[in-house]
Amino acid sequence: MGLPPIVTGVSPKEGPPGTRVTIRGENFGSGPDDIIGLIICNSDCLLSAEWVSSNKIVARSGPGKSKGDIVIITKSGGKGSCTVQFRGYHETIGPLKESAVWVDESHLTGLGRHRALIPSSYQQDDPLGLSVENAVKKYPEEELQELFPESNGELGSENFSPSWFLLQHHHSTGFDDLKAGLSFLKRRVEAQKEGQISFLKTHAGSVIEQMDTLMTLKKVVEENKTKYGPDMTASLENSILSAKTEAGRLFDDVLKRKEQADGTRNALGILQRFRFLFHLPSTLDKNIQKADYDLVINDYARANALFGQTEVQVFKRVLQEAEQRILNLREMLQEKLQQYPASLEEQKKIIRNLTNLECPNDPAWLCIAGQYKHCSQILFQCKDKYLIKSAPSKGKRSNNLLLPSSNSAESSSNTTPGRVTFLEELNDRFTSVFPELWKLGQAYFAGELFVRADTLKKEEFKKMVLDVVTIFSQLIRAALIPHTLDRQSPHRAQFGIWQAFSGIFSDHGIGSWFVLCLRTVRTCYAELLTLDLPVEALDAIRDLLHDLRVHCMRSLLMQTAENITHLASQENWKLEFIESHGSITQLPHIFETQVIECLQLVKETVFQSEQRETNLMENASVLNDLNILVQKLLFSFARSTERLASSDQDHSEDSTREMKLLLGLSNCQYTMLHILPSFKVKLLTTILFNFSRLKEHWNKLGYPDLSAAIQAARDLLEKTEERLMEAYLEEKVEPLIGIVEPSMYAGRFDWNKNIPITDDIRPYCKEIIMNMIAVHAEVAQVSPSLVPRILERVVQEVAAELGRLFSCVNKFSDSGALQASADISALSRACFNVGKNSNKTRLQQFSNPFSEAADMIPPLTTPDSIEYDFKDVIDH
Amino acid sequence: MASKATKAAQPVVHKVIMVGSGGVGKSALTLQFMYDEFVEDYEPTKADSYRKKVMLDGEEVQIDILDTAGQEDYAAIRDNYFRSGEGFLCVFSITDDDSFQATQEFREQILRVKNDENISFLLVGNKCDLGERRKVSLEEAQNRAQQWGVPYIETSAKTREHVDKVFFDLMRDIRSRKMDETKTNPGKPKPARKKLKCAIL
Repeated sequence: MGLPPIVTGVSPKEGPPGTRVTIRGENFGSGPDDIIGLIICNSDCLLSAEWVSSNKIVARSGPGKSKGDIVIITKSGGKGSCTVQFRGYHETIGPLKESAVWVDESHLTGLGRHRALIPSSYQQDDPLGLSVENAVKKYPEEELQELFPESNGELGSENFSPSWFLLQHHHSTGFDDLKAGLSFLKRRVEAQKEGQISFLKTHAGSVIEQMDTLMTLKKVVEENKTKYGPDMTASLENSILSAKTEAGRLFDDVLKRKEQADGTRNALGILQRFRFLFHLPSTLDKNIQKADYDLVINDYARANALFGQTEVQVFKRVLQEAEQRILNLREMLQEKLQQYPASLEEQKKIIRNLTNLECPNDPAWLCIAGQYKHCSQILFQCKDKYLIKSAPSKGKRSNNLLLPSSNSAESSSNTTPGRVTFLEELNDRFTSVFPELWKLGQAYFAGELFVRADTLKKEEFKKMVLDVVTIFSQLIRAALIPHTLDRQSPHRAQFGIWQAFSGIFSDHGIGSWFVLCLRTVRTCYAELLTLDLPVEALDAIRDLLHDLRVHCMRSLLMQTAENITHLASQENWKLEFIESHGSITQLPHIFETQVIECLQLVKETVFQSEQRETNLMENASVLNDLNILVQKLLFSFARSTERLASSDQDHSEDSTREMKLLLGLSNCQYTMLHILPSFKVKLLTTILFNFSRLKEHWNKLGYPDLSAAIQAARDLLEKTEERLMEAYLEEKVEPLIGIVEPSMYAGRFDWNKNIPITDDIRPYCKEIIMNMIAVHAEVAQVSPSLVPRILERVVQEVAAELGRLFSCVNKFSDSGALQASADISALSRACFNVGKNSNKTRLQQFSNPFSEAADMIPPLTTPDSIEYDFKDVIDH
Repeated sequence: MASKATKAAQPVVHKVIMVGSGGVGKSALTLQFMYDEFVEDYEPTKADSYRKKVMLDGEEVQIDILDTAGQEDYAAIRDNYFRSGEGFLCVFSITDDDSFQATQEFREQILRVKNDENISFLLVGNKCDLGERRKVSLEEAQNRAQQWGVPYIETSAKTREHVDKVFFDLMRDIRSRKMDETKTNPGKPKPARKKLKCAIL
């Protein structure tokens, strides 16, 4: 038992009945139930008590009047005490008092004859007959209470205390007045006493009458007693009872029928009243058929709320029936949820319905899992479809190889390679299915699916998403760049093993297909980027893109190199004249455009990194690859040109071969002088176009290498040119030299014989000059810039031959020597003329070889005539 | 109802009255002293009564606190309350200059009602925890207290700073005055008044 409650504070300490009082103190019990009594000013206020804490109770004061204790009684502490008191007072409702109650003021405001009524009804007469008007100053009630505890001044009260009354009402009345009052009171008491007797006197007649009546009544009762015995009402009771049974018998039948009718009516009424419930199963069926699930759920929920707790058997049965239908519906919906493809909205709707149906296992999650399965399935299906498709076509192709004549048109008409269409379809499927999965998951975790999201499943979902993305990227890798897949991985087989790129496939230009594939994957990536996917998932695609791009670049460059190597077959030997250079064929231009186009394509598709892609420029190995490939590309031209020089060994017409060699030379030179240097600039501008900020980086990593590649290509080209030059010279010089000796000794000519002096040089000399002029013309026609180089070699060869021939002469006759020196002079003058067109240093070189031949000739005797001869020749 | 006999056995009662403008924290001080609780929400008081036993310098006494209304609406009924008070805590808020100015009026009203210059009276500056919003300087308040010849104490009903001090200081002052009174006119005080009333009868 706890301590008794004690009240130590009250707020406010006074007020009219109904005042909200806050009571404070100690030990107010352990809770609202602990309080079993609250008394304010002797009136029970427990009903209004509001337990706040063991120190505070809020209650409304009762009708108690004047100052009184506040007593709290608790179960645990018993009856309590108080140190403060509450004073209740009744407010007099007057004309000036604010009140929420309408006060009938007619008797207060009334005038004239009504006035007389007012005092008696409103104010009690003073028992002393004294006027109360002079009692202006009221005696404080508290002091009265202190003076006269346990009593009060109310006239009707048991504890009436005259002293209180006098102090309260007449404490300022004079003693004489009080005495007069006393006598007035005495007089009134006397008057009342006298009044009783006079009352009887005035009504004597009626009193006697009443007495007579009472006597008569007594007589009758005594008579009846003797007549019926002591129990006068027994027979009466009997007859009343028999009458009652008789009446009961009469109405029994009617009542029974009435009961039956009532029962039927009741049943009908219930059926009518609970029509909703009884129709529920059929309504549910109807709505399920109409697929109006919202209505079904609504109806069911309503029925459950209304009758879920019912004890009535009929209702229970109907509810069970309805429940069975709801269960069926739930199963049906769950099945439907697992059916694909379905739109996101539809799925959300079904999930909401299922949630409303209180489906036990998280339907939203089931749906996500199902969608995930569906996703991966669809991707694998796509792969299988194309793998199967490609397999028989492969078989057919091998058939075609066996029977080349048949169906060759069919395979060539199939322009789009299988795996490219596969990629496109895979991409289509992925972009249609995967965002749904993702959105569904997002909606699930955002709580939009009407279920509380299980945050533990977030990881699992993330894994699913990653899984799907990985499958997608692996499938693409398997199809396009199988070398990037881990061959040893146990899952390798499930992504499909495609045949290596077949010849037909590469014939169509794998590079351009790669560009297409790359674009497809890129659009897919861009779409994924808008989805706000986890970083890992995006990274998977980004890596795929990176590999694809590298591969694309590689294949594009390799293919171009291949194309260029095969350029030779496209040569048509049509001449084009270039102002600054001379004549060339189309090859250099084709080469240039191909290289530029290829690089342009590479730049556009591969290097231009789009949103959130790796920058290939920053990858050292990629740059290395690029360098090697560019070098290969450039080499291929040299190779092509060289092949051209060597390929037509079997050509019958020599002149065309010479021509071709010459053109090849010209091409080489043009490429070297004009195209390669421009490449350096173009390559850089092409590749660096979008990477100006990377220039430093590029310089550090790859730029020197690239120029080295060009340099290497240049070296190779120079070598090729050299070889071509050799070949050309061989073609040209051989016959030229070959005819010198027969021509010199034609007609059994002998240098030692005396020859008749003529004013002309010998025909062999003329022939040499003519031939040299022919070569000069041929070369100059194609490329003037080649003239000095070729002629220099030709002249050297001729001079060497002449030197050889003269050294073989045993003896010169005088005239022979004269003739020989004239010939040599003529030749050197002719070459001097040729050399004049070129620069002066060359002139020196030209004159030297002939001097060797001239040395072989004995000194002349008559130099005058020679001068003459020379002039003649030159004029000629 | 407690009988008169039990009341007489109770320890001596010191009647304290809280005065001051509305919202300065009279009720907060009272409730903090009585029940160690700080009431955050403001609800204007009409007239609250509290009484409990406390140990004053080793002697058990009862403190009766009458928490009056600060609002002007109730100004007319103050006279009645003030008459029964033995000591006054005149409270103002250091964040409200008007409340400080009003103390002058309260002081005058109390002196008029009690008709005695020499009463137990303490000037209390409440809400001293809100120093950053102070509007009434310490000197200003101290000057006024000095002028009246009463102590000035700053309190915080929120942090309970000096709360007990103001009540106990006031009770000590009341006790010493009562002792002075009995010394100077031993026979007269209360019994005399009672006799007078009997004579009227």
